[in-house]
Amino acid sequence: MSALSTMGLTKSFGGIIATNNLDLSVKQGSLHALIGPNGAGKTTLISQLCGLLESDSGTVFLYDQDITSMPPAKRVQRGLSRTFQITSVFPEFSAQDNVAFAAQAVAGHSYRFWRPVSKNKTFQQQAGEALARVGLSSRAATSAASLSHGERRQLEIAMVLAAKPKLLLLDEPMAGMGGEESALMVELLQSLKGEVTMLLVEHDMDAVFALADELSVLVYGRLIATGLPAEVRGNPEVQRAYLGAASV
Amino acid sequence: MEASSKTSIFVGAIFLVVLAVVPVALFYAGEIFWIDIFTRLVILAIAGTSLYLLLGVAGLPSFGHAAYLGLGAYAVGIPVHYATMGGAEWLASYNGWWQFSLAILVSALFALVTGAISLRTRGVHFIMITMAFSQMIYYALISLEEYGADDGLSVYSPSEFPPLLLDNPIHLYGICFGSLLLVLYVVHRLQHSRFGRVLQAAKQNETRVLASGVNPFKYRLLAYVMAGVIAGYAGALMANFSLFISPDMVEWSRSGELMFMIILGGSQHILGPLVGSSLFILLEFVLSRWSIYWHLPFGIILLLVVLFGRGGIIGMLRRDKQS
Ligand SMILES: Nc1ncnc2c1ncn2[C@@H]1O[C@H](COP(=O)(O)OP(=O)(O)OP(=O)(O)O)[C@@H](O)[C@H]1O
Ligand SMILES: [Mg+2]
Repeated sequence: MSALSTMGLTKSFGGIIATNNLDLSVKQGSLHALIGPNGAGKTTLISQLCGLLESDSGTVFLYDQDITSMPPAKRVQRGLSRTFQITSVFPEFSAQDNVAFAAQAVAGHSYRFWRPVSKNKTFQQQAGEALARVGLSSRAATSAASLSHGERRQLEIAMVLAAKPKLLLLDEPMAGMGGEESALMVELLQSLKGEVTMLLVEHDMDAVFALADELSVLVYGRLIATGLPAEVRGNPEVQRAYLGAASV
Repeated sequence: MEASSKTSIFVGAIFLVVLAVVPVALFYAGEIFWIDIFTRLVILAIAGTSLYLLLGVAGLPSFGHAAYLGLGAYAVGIPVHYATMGGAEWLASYNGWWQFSLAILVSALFALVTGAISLRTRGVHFIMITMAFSQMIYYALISLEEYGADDGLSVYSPSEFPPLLLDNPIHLYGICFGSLLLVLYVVHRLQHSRFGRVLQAAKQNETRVLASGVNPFKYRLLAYVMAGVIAGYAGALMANFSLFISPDMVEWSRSGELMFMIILGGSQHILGPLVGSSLFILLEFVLSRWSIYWHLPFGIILLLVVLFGRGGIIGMLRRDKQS
């Protein structure tokens, strides 16, 4: 069964067709990697899937439900969370408060006006667990603005984990990370496999081949190949398009 | 962190004790002039604290907040006008409960309608549209001959809240000061609640709030209505204090003054508006004796605070302690 799928999904910006009549299917429980040269339309696709960007045409299904016109906040409530290529956190909040907010955001409405969030045991505990999982427990009280780049990336992962997603869209989680940090991130994603279905956009090929159950290649908004990583790697069209563009 | 929040609490406590003791002591010592200054200060601080909920907590720079002071004031002035002159019997009354309920209701409605439109815009557009809505109230008031147009309207008799007498300066001051304490406490609770967290989060990163599963629009609108209601209440107090109201209360420069007070005191701390309005009143008092062109040095001082003292006076105090 596919957890997430699209049919004929399209998006253009002026003359640029960023997503071109795209059919993609992410199997339940798998880690599906999406690669492609710069400007291929990977981020655009993720934004369409999560609802922050409206599609021109086509359909998005979450399990069997058509979510094409569902607002982004609702999709999160249905279990679809994302991270951003450019880290997106709340800089003034502490790491703990960032994650506690993520837990609060999926726990029903926030029309609660009196009790301090800091006294909400559920949110604080969920935040503590998620921070521990990404290895940030010791930085819980630090403001997000004072964290290092790599730590902020980890924080963002902790935030999406606190939302208890069924499906995770990850836009280059290792971007800008050092070797050691990347290795930890690969380990973390490995540990999430089976627990949550993932669509992973990543340029780091070692990471992709270490993690992916399935691999799709996007070039100029089109999927030129999709399948098992070993098969896709051998595909001559992929080698030409992808390696050709990457060497520019 | 610890030290800085302790400084703020200390400064805040001093301010509140001074406000509780000094004007009353001066009054009974025969210096009755001062209680007027302090009453005005406290009312401005209430209005400023309501704007803090928007500007400081939610990051919404409303430039039309004086509209609510005007709406609240006329919600007192107009019933008194009819009760004195006759006419509009359904509205006419000296009863304070009726007048203040009216002030709150009208402010809430105005905030709901204008907020629903303004909150669809961002940044400079939000500033302009909130200002435009308050100018609408201004022009409506100067065209209403019945209520004195730009000559304003005398409030012949203050609101009646038996057994309290609002024409007794000490009673009025007590009500205003008590209201300020209540407003500070309520806004403080709101700020740290789940509701307040949504506002604070959306101020920092709206996209992340959406991507976390919350659409902040309705929360912002509710905050907008709450702030309007508190400012409308402050306006009703203002009418009782000055016993004369006019469209000048609503002019855009008044909204600007409220904004300045917050920036002067510190927009990132709940006591910023109180500190800012105190300083505003003090500067106005000192500089206006010194020169009729007091707005110029006032503007320069403000500019210096904004340029060099990011976070206002409270921000400077906190930084001193940290370094
Ligand atoms: N908001 C936008 N307005 C106009 N053009 C856009 C917009 N967003 C993306 N594009 C264009 O759409 C194409 C796809 O961009 P996108 O960011 O999705 O690529 P990507 O695969 O994520 O690239 P990268 O690997 O560099 O992150 C690019 O040509 C880009 O310039
Ligand atoms: Mg991208």
